[in-house]
Amino acid sequence: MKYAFFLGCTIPARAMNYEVSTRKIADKLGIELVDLQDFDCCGFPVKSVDSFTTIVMAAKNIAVAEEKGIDICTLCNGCVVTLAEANHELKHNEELKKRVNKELSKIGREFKGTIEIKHLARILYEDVGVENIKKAVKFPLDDFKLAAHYGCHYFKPSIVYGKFEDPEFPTSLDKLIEATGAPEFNYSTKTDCCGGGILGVTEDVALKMAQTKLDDLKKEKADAMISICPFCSVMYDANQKSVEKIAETEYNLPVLYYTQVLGLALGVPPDELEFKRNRIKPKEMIKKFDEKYGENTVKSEE
Amino acid sequence: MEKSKINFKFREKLNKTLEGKHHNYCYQCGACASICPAARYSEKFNPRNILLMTLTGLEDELIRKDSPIWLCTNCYSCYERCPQDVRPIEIIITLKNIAVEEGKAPDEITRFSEAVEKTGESVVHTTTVDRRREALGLKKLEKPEIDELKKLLETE
Repeated sequence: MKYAFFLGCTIPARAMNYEVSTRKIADKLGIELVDLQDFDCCGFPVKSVDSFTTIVMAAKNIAVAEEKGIDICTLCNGCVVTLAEANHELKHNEELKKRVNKELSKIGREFKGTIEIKHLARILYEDVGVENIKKAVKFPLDDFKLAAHYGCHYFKPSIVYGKFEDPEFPTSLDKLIEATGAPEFNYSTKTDCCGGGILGVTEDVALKMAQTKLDDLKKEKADAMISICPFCSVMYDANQKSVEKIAETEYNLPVLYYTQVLGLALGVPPDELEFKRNRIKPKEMIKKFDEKYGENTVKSEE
Repeated sequence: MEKSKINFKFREKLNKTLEGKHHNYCYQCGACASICPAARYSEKFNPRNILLMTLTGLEDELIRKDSPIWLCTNCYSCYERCPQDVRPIEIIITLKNIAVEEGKAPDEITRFSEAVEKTGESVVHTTTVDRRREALGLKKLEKPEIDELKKLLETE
């Protein structure tokens, strides 16, 4: 399994815990992530300004991976939706493809439509497979209630993802979480939008949106929220204290990347998963984990 | 109350854009509004209303800095639910594109993309980032090949 690793702009600068834990679990599961020099911004931030430019920028990134002949793996929902939407449109709209390729010809590149774009979580689900993950788990996380947060762009618009998820009832991340040994955990606000898209325009509404899910997970006594998008994590983790202020309550809910909890289950020592970079520290979880498996996790490193 | 100004040519303008022509299929069922999270939290925002205003040609109310279009959270739920494939979110993005072109967008919107066009990345990688990456044993980030991107964006 080999993928062009599309890190994007935010993760390598602001979510190194996500990147580090991804590289560790990829090693354990035999996923080869190839860093390509010529990638730049996916194009997402430009879409409100000019949709066509976004498609051109996305197409350029896709062309870079096409030249190597490998599919793209992203970690960010913003990157995956931008690249997958462009990939889908360009594969199905000859006229648009011609227009975009005219632009790309200025830099000697071409969009051909020969590769797929996948989020890491989808790769884990479809290509590695839930059963293989279960087999690789050394330390089942059966004591923790872990709440899946997919983020909108992971599966919508479903048509650009070949409808691999039911857009009303997504299940893949839940199954990935259960593969770590954690119990099934359902809650009513699972597919709620984090509000990140309007944080810069109207912060109070964005925080209220984040509040609903945090309230729900407090009520349901979740041990942690599991995220697969750095922007959703900004809303629920980095802004959790701000939400607490307007909600006049305390959540203290760790928001962890799936790769971090998968790392724990696969036997990556906790201190190598950079939990110290999560704003809300999963202290109790790690303590419980250490009490149960501590000696073994150290031994596994020898 | 002041009468709203209707631009009868507004829909033609939309029809010339990438996604804009889908607005013609809207029959105002409201499926978009029923699932829209932004509408749940903000009474100023309602995708069905935005489509109605679009169909009616209320350009001045839509294309402005304090337009409701800026309150869309970009979640794509309306895209999934719409029985007519209007793709309300794409219509809203098209309206945003028009507003930007006419200099009627909030600064927050253009600031972000200006940075991308200048540096090739939406988050500036500082020396602190370099230091942290080194400490974690992560590869140093190379600056994006900005000449290539500039050439690509030149004639837009």
